[in-house]
Amino acid sequence: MIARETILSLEGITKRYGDAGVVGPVDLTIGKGEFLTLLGPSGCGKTTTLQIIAGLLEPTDGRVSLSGRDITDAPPPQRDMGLVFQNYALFPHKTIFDNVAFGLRMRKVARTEIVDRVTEMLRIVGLPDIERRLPDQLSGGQRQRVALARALVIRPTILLLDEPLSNLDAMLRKRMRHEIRELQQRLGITTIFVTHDQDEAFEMSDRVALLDRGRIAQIGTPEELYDAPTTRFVAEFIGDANLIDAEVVSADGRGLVRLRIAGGSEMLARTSALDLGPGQGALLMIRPERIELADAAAPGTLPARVRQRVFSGERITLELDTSGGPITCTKPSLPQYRQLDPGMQVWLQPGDCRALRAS
Amino acid sequence: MAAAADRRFGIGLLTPIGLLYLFFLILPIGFFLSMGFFKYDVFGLYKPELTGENFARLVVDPYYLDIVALTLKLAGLTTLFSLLLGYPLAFFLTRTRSAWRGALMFLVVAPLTTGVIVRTYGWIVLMGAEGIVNKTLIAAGLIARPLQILHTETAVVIALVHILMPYMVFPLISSLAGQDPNLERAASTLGASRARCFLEVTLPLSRPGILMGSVLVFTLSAGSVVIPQLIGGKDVQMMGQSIYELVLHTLNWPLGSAMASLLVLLQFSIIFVYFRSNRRVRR
Amino acid sequence: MIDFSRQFGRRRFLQGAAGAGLAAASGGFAGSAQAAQATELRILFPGGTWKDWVDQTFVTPFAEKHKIKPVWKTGLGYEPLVIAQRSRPQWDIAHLNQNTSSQQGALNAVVEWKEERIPNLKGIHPSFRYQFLAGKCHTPYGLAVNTKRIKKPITSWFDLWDPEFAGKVAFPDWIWVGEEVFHAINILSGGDAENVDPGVAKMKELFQKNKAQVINNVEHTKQMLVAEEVWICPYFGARTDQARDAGAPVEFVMPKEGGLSWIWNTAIIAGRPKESIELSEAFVNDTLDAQKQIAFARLTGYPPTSIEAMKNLPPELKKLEMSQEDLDGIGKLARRFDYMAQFAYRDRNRERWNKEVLGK
Repeated sequence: MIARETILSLEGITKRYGDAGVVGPVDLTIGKGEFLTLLGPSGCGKTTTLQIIAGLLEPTDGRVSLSGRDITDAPPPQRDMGLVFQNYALFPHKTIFDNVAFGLRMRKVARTEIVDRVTEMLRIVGLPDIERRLPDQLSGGQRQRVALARALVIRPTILLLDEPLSNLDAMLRKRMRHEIRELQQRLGITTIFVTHDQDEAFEMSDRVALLDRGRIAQIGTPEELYDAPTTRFVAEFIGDANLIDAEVVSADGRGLVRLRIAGGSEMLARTSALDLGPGQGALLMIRPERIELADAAAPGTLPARVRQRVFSGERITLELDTSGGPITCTKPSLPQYRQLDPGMQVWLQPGDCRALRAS
Repeated sequence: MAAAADRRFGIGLLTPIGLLYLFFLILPIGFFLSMGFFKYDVFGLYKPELTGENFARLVVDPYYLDIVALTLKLAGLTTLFSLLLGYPLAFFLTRTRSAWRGALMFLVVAPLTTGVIVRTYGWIVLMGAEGIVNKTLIAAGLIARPLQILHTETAVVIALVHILMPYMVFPLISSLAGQDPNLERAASTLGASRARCFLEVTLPLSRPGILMGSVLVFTLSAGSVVIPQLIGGKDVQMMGQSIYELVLHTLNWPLGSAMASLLVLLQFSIIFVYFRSNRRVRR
Repeated sequence: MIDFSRQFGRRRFLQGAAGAGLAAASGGFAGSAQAAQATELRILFPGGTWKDWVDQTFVTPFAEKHKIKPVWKTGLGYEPLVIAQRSRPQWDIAHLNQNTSSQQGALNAVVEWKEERIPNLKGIHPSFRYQFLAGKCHTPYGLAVNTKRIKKPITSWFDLWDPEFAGKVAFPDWIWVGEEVFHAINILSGGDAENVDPGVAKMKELFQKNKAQVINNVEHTKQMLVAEEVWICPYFGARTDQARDAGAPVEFVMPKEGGLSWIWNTAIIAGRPKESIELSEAFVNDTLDAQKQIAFARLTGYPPTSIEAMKNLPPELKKLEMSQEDLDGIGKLARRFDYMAQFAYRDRNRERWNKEVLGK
């Protein structure tokens, strides 16, 4: 990962909603040109955090700084951020041109320059020749692009996107992911993206911050989050995970532990919890696609019995019973896996096991 | 098949209201219009002979023209002041979470809940020559002799604004409350100050409410009878009073009908303008 | 140009009046197809406590005696309904006064009252008998005077013109009782139903020189008297007492030129089946009964119109008794009214009132 110059930082940002709950404290720094996603289930505080960054909500506590300047109390017009709303919030009474030109007019940009920049921006988002229309004459995808153009035309320091794809149909959503990422790369604009969709977050972002009940559960590149989740919540939210109760047998203090599961089988796993010691409870995480199947016992293998086989075209999902509990395993749809019928005995050889603190 | 069934269902739904309109709006207005073209007759009330003299009388005689002009003027002023006072009120009521909201809502509706008798007495006690306003001003040494407040056009406009305020405020509230709060947020992130947000977004989007409220207040004040009569005294003659007098007391139905037709025509043209401009907003 | 000053020949509305009598006589034929036997008494009435009192004293006992069902339609403004239904009337009787009943009579909408058909009519004082109606009670009308503000004695209608009361006098609205009071002033100023110039000139003076205000109804007048916005105005005697009870320092004065009085009763609508008209006549005959009128006076506080009732008022109602002089006073002005002519010229008079009297 490239070292980036910090452009925005949140320090101890907290928002209390009476008795209804609390968001934060959230600490976060974003580098210049970075695409960061705030990911999480609904109610996790991701939109609250975004609105605090935009200045639409006042934090109860904490500090927001932009390029080293404290902007915690600055109203939205002084923040120079472009925000795209989930429902686009296009002005229904203004033409597309006037919608896009709005921010420039507020900045008292000269008329001729406004025309040039609006035309250019509409061309960039792929919507030339619709300046004279009104928002409700456009399709959802077109409105999405107009909202993007309206936010980008002011050349904001940071682009904020609040679930901008959730109102589009599945096909369009996939296309827009690539378009937005491509545009962001081309313009080199720092972007904060809010979504509840893990695929969106992973496909678009440099880094992802996964939020859980108002706090950041884990932040890192998509690979880090997938490969090395630090908590059960992260492991379960990101991708599919088999989580098996286990006990630490030994630990080397440098991130390698030996775990024992019910039935006595032992397994080596990596961990970021360096304080795990022998005798402690832990969780063994195995990603379903990292399991090799063997037809005979060998050291480090775990005996299992096939309970169910689900065929879904390119993939086969096997539900297995082991002494540690049920385990799911996914395999490419090859002939040797198609013949595994319920009741058959197999031996599992899990790879890339992770040990998590028992929660 | 389905479309035809839908249409039949639609017609079925609209039939009761259609009949209501036919019997209580279209037929009476048609009756009024036709009566306005008949000749006045002392004992028969009207003679079924077609004539334009009733309408001509309204347009030619300065006495009647003045009544029409005054009606338009007072209805216009009432609409203007209801809007100027009602808009900030409606704006506050849609935005506030304050405990005062309920109390203010009640104050807006309150004029509708008191009878006309009680309300008029309140105005007399307030605005009369012996009233509170004059007594206070005299006691303060600001004036030597009581001002004529009651029985002026100003008094009528004040009373009409007061009683018709709910008809202005509620359409405004509904158009303000129906606005997407994200629109103002979007405007502010794009650099608009609070005043610009209001002028660029909130105000233009509340136009349907402004139009609806204005149409209601204008038509209701143009047709009002009791307030001009009781508050306006002899010097404020509006069309509603004249119609009432002609139809119920003097029994000159043709002239009363002509005046009523003129009033309905004026009110309908306002409603027509409303629909025209509202359609332009939507398009 | 349109001829606004259309004149009506005297003969013309006399014909109108005669026509009303004719309609009454032929009433039995006009609607005979509707019902062979009257089983209902259909009543148009304003409503309120007044209706309860009339029901209690007259209607319910009558309905029980004749085994018929009273049907009420209450609410104001039914006079046009009676006119509109002249060809097919749906109602038997309507609550009217001497003025409105005379108008309806001129339009052939109500039946003339005759002694041979309504025997109790003979016992009614002539001051309260009109062609199409006789009062079951009457409401004396003169001047309400604020005695706190006005120390000089008030005796005449023309005291309203006293410059000392400028701005503090009031006159009833034309469509309330103003039209009738105007005609009284007109007559006293030397005019008659056909020549209202003296009345118009006199009233113009009242409004322009003495800055008269307009009072619109009973309640409004009471409010203006209580608030002392008005010190002297034409008003009902019983209502003046109510205003005094409400705090207005007022006394009632019966002017020396003669007071006015509104008589109220249910007029009989013309063109109904013969049986219905007979039933209505029997009903109004009851309203003229001396004993019933005394009972009614006890409820309402308004004096009876039957001479026998007036003589036999119980001690607690003695205050309602009127001297022969007062009764003659009431009749003095009223007898000079030509209701038919007033009705015939109503539109011209209304317009002159609005333009010349009230106009700026």
